[in-house]
Amino acid sequence: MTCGAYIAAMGIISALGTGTDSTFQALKRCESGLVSVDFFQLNRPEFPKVGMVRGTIKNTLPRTHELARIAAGQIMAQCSLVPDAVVLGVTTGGMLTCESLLKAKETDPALFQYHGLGTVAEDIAELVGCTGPAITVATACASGNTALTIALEMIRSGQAQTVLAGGADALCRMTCFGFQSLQVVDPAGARPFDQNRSGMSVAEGAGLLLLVSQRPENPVAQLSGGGLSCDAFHASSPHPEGNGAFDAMAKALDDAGITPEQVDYISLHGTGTEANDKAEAMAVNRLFNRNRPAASSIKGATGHPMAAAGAIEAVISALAVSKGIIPGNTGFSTPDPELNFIPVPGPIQKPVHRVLSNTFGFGGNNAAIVISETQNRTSGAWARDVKGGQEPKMGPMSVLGYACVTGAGTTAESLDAFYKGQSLAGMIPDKILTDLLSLKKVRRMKRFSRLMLALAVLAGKNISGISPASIIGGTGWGSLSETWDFLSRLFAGNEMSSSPIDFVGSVHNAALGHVAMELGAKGANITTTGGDASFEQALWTAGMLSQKDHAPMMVMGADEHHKDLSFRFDMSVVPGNTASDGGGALVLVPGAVPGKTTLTPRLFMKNDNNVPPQDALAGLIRELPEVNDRYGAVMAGIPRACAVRGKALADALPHAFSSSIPILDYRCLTGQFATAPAVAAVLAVDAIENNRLPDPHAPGQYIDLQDRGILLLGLGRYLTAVEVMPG
Amino acid sequence: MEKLISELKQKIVDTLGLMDVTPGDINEQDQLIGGPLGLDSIDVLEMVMMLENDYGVVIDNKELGETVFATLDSLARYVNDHGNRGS
Repeated sequence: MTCGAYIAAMGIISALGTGTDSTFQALKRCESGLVSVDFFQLNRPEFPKVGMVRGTIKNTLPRTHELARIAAGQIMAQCSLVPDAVVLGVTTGGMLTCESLLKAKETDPALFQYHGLGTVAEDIAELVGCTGPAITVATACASGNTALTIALEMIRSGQAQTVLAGGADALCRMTCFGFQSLQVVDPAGARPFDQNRSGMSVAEGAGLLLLVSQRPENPVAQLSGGGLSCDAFHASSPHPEGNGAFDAMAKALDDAGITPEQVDYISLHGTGTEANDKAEAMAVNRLFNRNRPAASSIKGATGHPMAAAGAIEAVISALAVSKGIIPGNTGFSTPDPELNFIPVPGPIQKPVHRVLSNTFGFGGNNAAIVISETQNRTSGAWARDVKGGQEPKMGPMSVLGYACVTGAGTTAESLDAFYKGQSLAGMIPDKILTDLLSLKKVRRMKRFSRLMLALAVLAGKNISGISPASIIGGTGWGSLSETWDFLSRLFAGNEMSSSPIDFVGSVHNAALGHVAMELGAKGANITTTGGDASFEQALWTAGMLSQKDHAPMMVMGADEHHKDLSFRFDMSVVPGNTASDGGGALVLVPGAVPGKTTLTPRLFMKNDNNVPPQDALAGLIRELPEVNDRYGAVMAGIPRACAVRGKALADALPHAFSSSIPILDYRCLTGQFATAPAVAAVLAVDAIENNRLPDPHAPGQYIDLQDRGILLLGLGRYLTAVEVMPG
Repeated sequence: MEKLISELKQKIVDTLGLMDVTPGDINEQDQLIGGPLGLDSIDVLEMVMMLENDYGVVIDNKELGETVFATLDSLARYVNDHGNRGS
């Protein structure tokens, strides 16, 4: 059996209550938490009820952050362990606050500093004292379970001993009006699997689990498996027969080392929409055949809290195991003859050993997890035993293909400019992107999705015969055009309605959903986000998952420049400077393939301004002791917003490395955008293959790499190191 | 009616971003959804919003939508009968 991770502590806040005890009591009473939203104005009196967290929530930070803080506070009250990493699923971040600011036409970037989805994980990391990676997963409604699956792999691979993982999202106009525009909100409140169901109830909340490799004193339960898949079928509708849902569930069971017969309870995604419930019922019936265990969706009680859904349901699944309860499918009364599927209508108290919990989202993203009872063992034999102080290294990934898009053009033009020492800053004309793609395909996509899809098509061109199953991509800011257009139309129309096409396109993972459809990639499909380290987050996620899947992946990073939003959100973007965007894509295969350039993630830690540069770099040197012989150059990414700190670190590098290693500040070439590191990775790979790098101090001259590698450093809010080595 | 049909053709092209289609390419009797234009359920919802904003026509259930959006001709007739304003 594959090892799992112990759940040492949990935190939860939802429409059902705050904390595990009140949630358990509410579940026992089969309560519904659906009410009318009261903290922002809905100009439609008939607007259906939502799953709102009741009571006063502080507003020091945006609501999503505050909800996550409440859940984290519950964990800190139970357990003093400081996590090595934080992995959260988030889809709205500071959106509620951002909406009000945009409505008031505010332009000061300082007011928008908590808008980014990644700022929730960064804030929680700060709160709990975590200085390791803070990874944010934005795979729409599948985000929570995807985050938990990544966290589990972090622990299994030994990258972390303790991970705080889960998801958080707050109600906002975007989700309320977005789902309304899709006509998938049930005016009577969600009634999952009921014959008369007509949609979901939009909701909010946060769920966090402290996962540990070594058995704690009183483990709640175990996270014993995770399965990720992509429908590669449609931007917002599930595969009609639930094929992707089936794959995710089957993978989760396999990953946990159990058979369908061993599952006692299925925590269903069950949103209450006609399409989801039908597809999920079909997939569950197919996987479990005639022996389906008890199953229910709690979304008639909690509503659908987006990225928090998987995390909240993971907490409830752990309660099911630890307290012996099968929650009822609140709202269900009439079986749907079309579904051949009757959920558990009311709560049942009985022993539960293993739970399968489902989440599915836009972009065809599916993520299922298995929560199991804790085996009666006294040592940590279930988790991989990592010897103290010996951090396991993430293995190399070999580069089979690559592409980039910059202000200079596509890959060939960008590389040409790079070697000539010319600027790559700027924005590629939209016409070049649409010429690469077909007009029919891109008509509903705006710039960010077009950039990502163009990158995937370009990177896929030189890898004939290889089909990446998994797509993992980072973006600092996602679909800015759709977000701006959706909110502009909403405000222009007196907050009554907005565009369903823009809503579907506004989610960060919309782009990778299109990439999956283009490439027929039905494996894991993960969008990571977190400002300037968004691409590095994707690379780390790929590194961890590759140790499990051993299959080719496409790892990407891109951002669009938006004239109204980029300068508000990204403090490195200054009006008047060259507006820049673009990205890079790499086709990677786990392990070192002879003759192929490799990428290896080496370091990901918080770049604390209070730590003197030489001390911060000491961690890097510890990680990379052979630096002088190993690398011929450093390519450093210094976001403009972190220029002082970044430059201090770059200046201290030669002393730390005891050598005058050439340092190329690549953002001087690419321009300022969050996923410039994805472009830099592509440039570095090409430079390794040519064994030379343009000399930053002498245009037209080259640095001879002498068959050594390049160290890619990120010197923003996180200190990251990726090595690119010749094959 | 003819004026309304040509107006709706232009609105469909603009609203749905049909970059490779001109209003003249849309045949009134062709199946609108799943037909030659490659439109699907999200496009229907986008058109629902446009009809509500521009003509005051409300289409809030799937069954009605299927009838109204069968062809451009059926759409124009419904807007003509139920719309409360031109645009």
